[in-house]
Amino acid sequence: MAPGEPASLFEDPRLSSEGRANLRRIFGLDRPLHQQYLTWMRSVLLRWDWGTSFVHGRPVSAMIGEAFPNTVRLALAAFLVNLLIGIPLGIWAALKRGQRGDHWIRLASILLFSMPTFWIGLVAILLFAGVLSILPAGGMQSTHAEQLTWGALLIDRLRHLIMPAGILGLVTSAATIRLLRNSLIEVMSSDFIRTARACGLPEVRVVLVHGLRNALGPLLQFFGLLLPGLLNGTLLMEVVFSWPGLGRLMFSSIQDADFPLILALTAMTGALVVGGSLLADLLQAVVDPRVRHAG
Amino acid sequence: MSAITWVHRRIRAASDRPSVLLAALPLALLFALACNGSKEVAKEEAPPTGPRRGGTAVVAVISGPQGVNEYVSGARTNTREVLSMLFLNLASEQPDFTDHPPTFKPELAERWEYSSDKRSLTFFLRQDITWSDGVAVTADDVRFSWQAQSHPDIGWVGAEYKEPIEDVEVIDAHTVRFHFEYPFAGQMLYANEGVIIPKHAWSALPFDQWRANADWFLEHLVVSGPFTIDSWRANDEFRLVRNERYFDPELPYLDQVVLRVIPDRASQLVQLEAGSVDYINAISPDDRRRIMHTPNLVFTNYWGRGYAFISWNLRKPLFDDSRVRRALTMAIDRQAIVETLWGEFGRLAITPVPQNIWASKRDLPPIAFDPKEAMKILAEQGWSDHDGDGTIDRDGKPFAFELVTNLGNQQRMDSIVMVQEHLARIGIEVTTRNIPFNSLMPQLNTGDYDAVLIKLSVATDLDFSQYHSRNIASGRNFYAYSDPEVDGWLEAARRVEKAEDMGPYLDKIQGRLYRDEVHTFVWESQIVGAHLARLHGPEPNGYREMVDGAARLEAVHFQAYRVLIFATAHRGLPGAPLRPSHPPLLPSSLGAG
Repeated sequence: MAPGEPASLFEDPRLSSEGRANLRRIFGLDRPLHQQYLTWMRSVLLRWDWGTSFVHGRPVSAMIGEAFPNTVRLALAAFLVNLLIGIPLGIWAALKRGQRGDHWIRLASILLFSMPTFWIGLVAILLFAGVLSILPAGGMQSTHAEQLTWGALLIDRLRHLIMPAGILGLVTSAATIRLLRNSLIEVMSSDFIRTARACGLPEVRVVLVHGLRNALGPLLQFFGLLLPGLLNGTLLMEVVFSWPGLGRLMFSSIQDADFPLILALTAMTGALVVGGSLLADLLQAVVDPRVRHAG
Repeated sequence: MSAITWVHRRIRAASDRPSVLLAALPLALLFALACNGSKEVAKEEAPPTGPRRGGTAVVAVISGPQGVNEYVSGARTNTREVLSMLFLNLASEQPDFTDHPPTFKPELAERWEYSSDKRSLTFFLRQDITWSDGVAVTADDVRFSWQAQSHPDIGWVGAEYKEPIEDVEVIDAHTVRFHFEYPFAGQMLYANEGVIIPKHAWSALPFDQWRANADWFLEHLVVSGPFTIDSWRANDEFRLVRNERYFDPELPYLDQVVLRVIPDRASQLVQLEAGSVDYINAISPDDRRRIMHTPNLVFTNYWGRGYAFISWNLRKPLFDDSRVRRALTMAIDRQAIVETLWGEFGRLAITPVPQNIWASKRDLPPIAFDPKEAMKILAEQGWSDHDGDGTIDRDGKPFAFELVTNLGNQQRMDSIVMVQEHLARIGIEVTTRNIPFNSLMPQLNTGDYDAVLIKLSVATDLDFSQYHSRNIASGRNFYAYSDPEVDGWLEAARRVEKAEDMGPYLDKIQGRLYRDEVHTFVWESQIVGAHLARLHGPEPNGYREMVDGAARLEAVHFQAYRVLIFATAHRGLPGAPLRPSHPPLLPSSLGAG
């Protein structure tokens, strides 16, 4: 149980001890913890009511509903960048194993993976928004976006997406590259690959169809776990780029000790982890006949 | 101009950021080549013609407003700042508290008068003020606001201010009378605390449903202030547009104010430098030094009404002797702390009344840094290194304690480490810990700490009841200070009828706290803001402490000249500026930020 109390309400020094007690009564914080929890559980399970934010006075489900699409948009874009960078470079590094290109890719992926995301974000803002003035510094759309035509609005939103999604995708692609490289190296030394080559199949088909398909197993597991990771991992990007998503909501709810919001977001993250793992297992069964048949 | 030449010029313009350039140079060249043809064309607009009506100002805020109803919204200052742009108070408190108690200017009320026994205060409302839907603002709204402020089901955090008010009587549509239990100096402040809300629009929802229906108030929003809400994107952006029915036809100059939520201070700064926001109102001294030569930025700074101090928990035997507390103060090089952390933006604090407030006892000298004398005093109290382990001890117990502060405030986190080092030099073992603010406060309120470095902001009503012994149990007096004489002076100060008459009592209280060394006062600091040079009018003042959000933007404007229009502008046209003005009463407050 997180210590503390809704700071932005209770920290106000105008609040007398009687006022504090009254607020605790209004929010039900004066009742024993187990009672508070059971009440919350009952309302979720019986009425699908996730409660009302102490701090914002709004239904938690509405707040999450507003933030969720924004995070999904960012996470999907980042995932796309991840795939576009990670898969070609992973394959290339595997095929060029031990050569100069492989060394550079591995070095770059280690560097990317170890650099703080928020720092990259700040440098990117300074560079692309500050020095070069070619990308917006933050937010999801421009200040005057409402006046734009549909097409212009789309472009405007894409421009806002480039930096946060690009950085997040770039950083997470480091893991994709390394996983795919290692997995593909292992697969490419298998007997069935030698057989495929012996049958005279073109190398492209050997790599992309027979090799890659069998090397995707660990990667799919990783992607399954990346789903909740991306949704929550957008936090730093959302903070740095002022992106109004779930990460930011979680960040502020923890700062405020806004318990109903924290509970709902934690439950949601848990569901995403379970869902992501399940999805990974199902996808693995689709691409790998051994898993399907073993099941 | 070729792309490379252009990039070269831009990089030279940013030459005060060498660390960034090192990281950015290769990428910059790459991008310039990729984006050849993306050029910035800047031109000067027409000659100066004074304030220009129109435009949009983008203000960076750490967090967005938590609702449009002050009485159920979070108590964060930025929420209150935004609401002060939507709703009017009865009067506008002025930032003229340096030499005398603050005065008031008319706002909703055109004048006011006390009864002969000073137990009632009558406000005469302006007759030309309407809500944004055209309905007149009346005395009924004032009474309704008071009912909401003091209703237990609403639980407004400022409800205590309304306790001395027995009733709010509607005399006629534009006359309203506040009846007080007893006369006291703060009657005007207390009556004026909290904005006036629309009865005709908001009385349809029972008070017991207010806390869970923030959206309802937004849907039924009518305002009396210079702006109203145009769009509300939680956690993202809040667009305020001019209230066309605002009583002053000249104001606001701005068409729109966009509050952009940027939760990270570093990002705020970067976006200011990038020109994506026009105004931020709290930057650290380090950042101020870093960007002070950035072109097109204007800095504002003023002394806040806060002071940082180390509070010794007087419940603990270690700190129950004022001589020991004085020795601790003498062993801490507070001047060095102030200079290191704040430079020219800070000064030593001496009493709980900051030096820019009229009641400050300015003749008290700061306690000198003298570690040798400190060791001597401690030795006289039996504290010496008897066992030779480097830590002084008495009766076999080492002089060791934990010093905490709130996580997230870099100055405070740095300063407790400095204090740790200073005290280690005289053999005192200090462990430090940074605790999230929402956990720290319950700890302080229950007395579960040794020593804490924290900051308090002082309200202009100069209520120092946190030193009253009756407030130990409630946690407000978390230092557990108890002195019957101080209790008496506090009560007497509360009962005087003119604020100036509080002065002698406040002098005595400050003198006693100084003598008893209840705290080690460390610093008072300035609040530094920055805005783009194209924006005119954001004149901060000492009345605005804890400025986390927008200063009131009513009279801020864009000067017609010097407005740069970027041909590649994704920023849109520049907007207009901010007015210094009548903020709500800000009481003595603990600041996390």
